[in-house]
Amino acid sequence: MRLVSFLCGLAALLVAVASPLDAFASWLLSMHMVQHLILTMVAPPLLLLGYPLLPVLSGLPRSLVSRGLGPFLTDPLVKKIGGLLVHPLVAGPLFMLSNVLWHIPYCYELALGSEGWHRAEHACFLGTAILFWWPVVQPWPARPVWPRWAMVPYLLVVDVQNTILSGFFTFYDRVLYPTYEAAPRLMGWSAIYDQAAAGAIMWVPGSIVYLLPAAVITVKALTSGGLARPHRQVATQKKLVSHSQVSSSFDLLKVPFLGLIIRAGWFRRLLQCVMFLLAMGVVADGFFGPQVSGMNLAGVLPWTHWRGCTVVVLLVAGNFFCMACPFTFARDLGRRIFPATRRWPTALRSKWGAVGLLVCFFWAYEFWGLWATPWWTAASIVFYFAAAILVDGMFRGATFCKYVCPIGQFHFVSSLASPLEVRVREPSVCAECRTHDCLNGNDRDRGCELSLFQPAKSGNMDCTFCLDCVRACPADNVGILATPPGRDLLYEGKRSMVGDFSNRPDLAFLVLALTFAAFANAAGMVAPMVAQIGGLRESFGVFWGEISETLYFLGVVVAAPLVAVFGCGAIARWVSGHKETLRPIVCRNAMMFAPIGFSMWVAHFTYHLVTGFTSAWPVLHRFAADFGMASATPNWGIETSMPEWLPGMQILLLNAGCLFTLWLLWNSAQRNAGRWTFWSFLPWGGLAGALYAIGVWILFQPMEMRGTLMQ
Amino acid sequence: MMARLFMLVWIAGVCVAGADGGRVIGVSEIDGIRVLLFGQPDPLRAGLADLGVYLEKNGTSCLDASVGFRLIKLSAPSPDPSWAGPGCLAPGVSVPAILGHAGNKLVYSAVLGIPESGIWELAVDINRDRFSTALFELKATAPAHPLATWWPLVLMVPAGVTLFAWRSRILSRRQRQ
Repeated sequence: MRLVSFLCGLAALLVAVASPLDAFASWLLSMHMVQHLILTMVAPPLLLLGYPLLPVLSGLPRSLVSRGLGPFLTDPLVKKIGGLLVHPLVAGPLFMLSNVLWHIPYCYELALGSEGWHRAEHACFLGTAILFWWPVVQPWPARPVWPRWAMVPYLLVVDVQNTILSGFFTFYDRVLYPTYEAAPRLMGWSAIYDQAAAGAIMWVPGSIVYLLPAAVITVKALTSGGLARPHRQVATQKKLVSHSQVSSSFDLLKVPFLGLIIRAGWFRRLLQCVMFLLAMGVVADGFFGPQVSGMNLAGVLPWTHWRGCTVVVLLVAGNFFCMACPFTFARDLGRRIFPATRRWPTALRSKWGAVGLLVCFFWAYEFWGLWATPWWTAASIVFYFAAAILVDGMFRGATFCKYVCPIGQFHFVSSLASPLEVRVREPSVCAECRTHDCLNGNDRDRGCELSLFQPAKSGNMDCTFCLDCVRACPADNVGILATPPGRDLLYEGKRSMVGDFSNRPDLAFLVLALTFAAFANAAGMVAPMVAQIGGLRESFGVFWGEISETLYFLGVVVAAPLVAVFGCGAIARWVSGHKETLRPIVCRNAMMFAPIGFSMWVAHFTYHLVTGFTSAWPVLHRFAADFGMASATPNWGIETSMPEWLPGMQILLLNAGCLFTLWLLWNSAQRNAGRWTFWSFLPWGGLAGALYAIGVWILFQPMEMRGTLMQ
Repeated sequence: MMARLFMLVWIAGVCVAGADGGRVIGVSEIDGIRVLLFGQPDPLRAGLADLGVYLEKNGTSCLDASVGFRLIKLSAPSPDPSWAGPGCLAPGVSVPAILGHAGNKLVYSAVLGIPESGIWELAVDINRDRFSTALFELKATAPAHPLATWWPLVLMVPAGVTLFAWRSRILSRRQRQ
């Protein structure tokens, strides 16, 4: 019965806010009144009769309930405030006040003229109604503060208020709300007739809703045992909680059908082939097609669609674009000619080279406007293929992926915040393994080319999702498992071939460069920054303007992060009196900025993906027509627009990244600074807050569109 | 995993189940058709605006017309461009207004981007038995700062930090006890 009641309450809410009732609320006062009655008199008691707190708490993730909500729910102050709000002497007057205030013409007109105020009005009605009905229904864990019979006068007082208000609507001879006077007259009802009807609806059904429970309570009070409260919910709660404990970790490879496909070797080859063919198409069009970005595959597919899809997949799954990498496909083909016998020089076995290439790539992107020059885009892809074949043709393993590829580094760092990870399913199985096939390979399958030993691996750093280890493991003990995003960032210990984050300045700088570049790259596309950069060229001439632009870029992507993190590290060390050297403090905390940087990349690239998604069709059409595979002229006027929800989604992404980074920084400070946690956290938290503020400012500016003819 | 997915869908669902608003901001009569123009926000500002028209002939709704909106600038160009950029219309471009767009299916509506503040003329092109145009003069005020629209989302970060600090305080107090 409780479930039915709760579902009916939800259905009532849906009818109130997402049905024609709402659509006609600004045309007919009577419709609007029905909507308000459902929000205040129907939905709240039904929801409360379903004892909602118990199933909601049981259904939420256990860690969220115990570590997130638990401390609040059991805090005496929160309990006291909650108890006060549902006390009949507070809840009743609040409900009546809300009813009366929102029906004052000024407030009512305000809600009719603004969607925001309209929502606030509904929230007020629903919120105060839940408080009002709470002492009447007394859902778990409510405790009666008044005797049961006292609910009868409580309901009657509110009914008197309802009667006075509805009587006013019914008998007043002028239209109270001018909006309804101007609205179309449906069903031939005049505005005054509509107002009287609204009053009657409020009066009759409204009074029934108050009087019916009053009557039920009275009858129960007059019969013996009618006031007993149910006590069964504690047992139910235990049962539900124990059920939620049973849940096991999600494994993508165990999903029927999909898991089999993903782990098959041909699946990766197929993905790589598709990406390789697309890359060839982009290169061909970039060199020989029209040199207008929005009309060329090289101006659209890599910069709008590939980048956008990559970050979305990284956010919701993991590093699947490294899995589909066309460069490693070409490299594997190249290895049939080049034997790859040498080992990568020891001095170069770090990320510094890749960091340098990454900075160069970002600079070239800004300086030469790669996205706007199809020829340069095509040349970059050709260069990339040549580098992959050459490096991996000479050196063993996946040297190119690990030490050279800037795109790979972007994926590695971003996938630190991904929800999926290639990981050992059952560690005890690996403890008995002597062959280490996941690392060394066997006759059938090759092992990890990046030398990641699964039992000692943690997180997604350096993992290309090639799944060689999955296929090589004879015990089938490696899967793609769900993991709390960012878990690896808090792990303090050695990881296979990655080591300890606090001892990897190259990794720390990689994360910092990517984080600051995320903001610099997005800022380079908003109107005020574009004007400022244009101003530099105008003021200093083309040559010196370009030099100052380069210096500006290097300042933001290289110097600013260094100054910021060493400054924060030094301040944190000084204020907390910490004895640890600066290097591990900086390295450890710099890694925690990966989520906020990634969130800015996602916010930025999804903007281009969403606003320019349709831009691929006319370009593909044109490309096909060039090869005689399509006849008609492409529709270059295809609609490209910014959906209303996009800015909100971008801000939410940035919020998530910032809060996540702050949480990681706090945890790191808690582990390493002891009683000086707050002071140790403060400068780092300030830096994350400053980046967030810059990010919000960027998102609020008009941004250029990519890959479209409307720029 | 499924529970979390369900939670996400639920939260997204809550976000879209919003309230409809908008009220009549202009009335005109052309070829026997009464045209009522609804607009939001009220008063109109530069940036995105939700406009709709209700067509009525002899007391009955006209649902078989094809309707389009055009914006024509009447006042001098304004120095303050709208932040909404890409969504804004180039003056004179016609945008179809359709019945399915609004929650109220009796209204032909579309979201228009008003490029800048000033006096605009909205031409409502109605094609029913014959083509006719109703004209409405609109005054668009300066664009609202985006923070005025998105402040609830921006507040989430300080709110999150405050709740976390509060939680830490509760836990540390409990530990001391």
